[in-house]
Amino acid sequence: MEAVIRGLVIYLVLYLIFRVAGKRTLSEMNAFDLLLLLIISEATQEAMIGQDHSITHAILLITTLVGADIALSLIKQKSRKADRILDSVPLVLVEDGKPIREHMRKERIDDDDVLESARTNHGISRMEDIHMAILERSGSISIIPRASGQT
Amino acid sequence: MSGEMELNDRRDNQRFQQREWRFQRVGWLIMMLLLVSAVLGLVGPGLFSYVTTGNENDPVRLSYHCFEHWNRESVMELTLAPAAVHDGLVRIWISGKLFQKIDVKQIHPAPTRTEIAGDRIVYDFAVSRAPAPLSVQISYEPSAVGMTKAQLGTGDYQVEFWQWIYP
Repeated sequence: MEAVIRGLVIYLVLYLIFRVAGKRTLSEMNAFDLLLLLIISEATQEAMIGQDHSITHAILLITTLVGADIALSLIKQKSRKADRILDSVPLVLVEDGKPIREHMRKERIDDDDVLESARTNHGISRMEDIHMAILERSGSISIIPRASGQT
Repeated sequence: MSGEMELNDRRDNQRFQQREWRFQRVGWLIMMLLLVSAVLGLVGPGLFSYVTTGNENDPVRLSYHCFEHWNRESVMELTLAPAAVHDGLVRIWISGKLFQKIDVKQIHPAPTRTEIAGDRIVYDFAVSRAPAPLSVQISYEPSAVGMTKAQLGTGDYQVEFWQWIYP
């Protein structure tokens, strides 16, 4: 039972903390984010394993974590409201070449982040050439370029 | 029609996003309060969690962290006044219910004798000389979550103390 409780508590606490941290925390990782992930995994390992290093405990823990993930995905599938609460919603950052500053400020995103995504995925180097930039639920930034001839 | 639905979706998302930002800000505040509490010693050992009972003239005083974590090794220290020594011996008793909540790892110095007396465990320590004050350290691990209340003392003198153990 302890494995199930430890696994569930850690899973839910991590889920809550990452939801509170914001979409950008989940996005493509730089070196600091990778380091953070490694440290978090080390910090939670002892809390989940406790004093029990048996194979049984490990199997129960893994089953609990994967089971929690499956349960959440089923809940999200059945309920749009739950889907939004658990995974957030996409957010428009740039519309018709104009950054929406309030959205960018609240999500701690600057022009460089948007332009990096634009350059990487579409070879676009100017904000004016972006029809729409959207911060997806995963934390990545999707770029919809302006159609040629569009002003 | 699909354009209208997209617009409605966007408005719905926008309203949800505003609520989500408020939730995040509250979450950040709670996280900050948690960290400040941790530093202050309210969620485990910290700046103000180490307390000492009684005053300098008491026969026995207990120093310990009043907030601890389950299974985390810790130390409580008993400080004994020379008045507690009788015939080269110091006798300390600890209420048995404390041992339902902690696992004692080591007592330093080691007692010369341990005895069960009703609901108490009694320890005798030999004292060849009695500088002031004497110190006994008990290394332990909390084995139960929640509030622990217990007593310890020497002779008729008693100290009551409490400790909150976080999971």
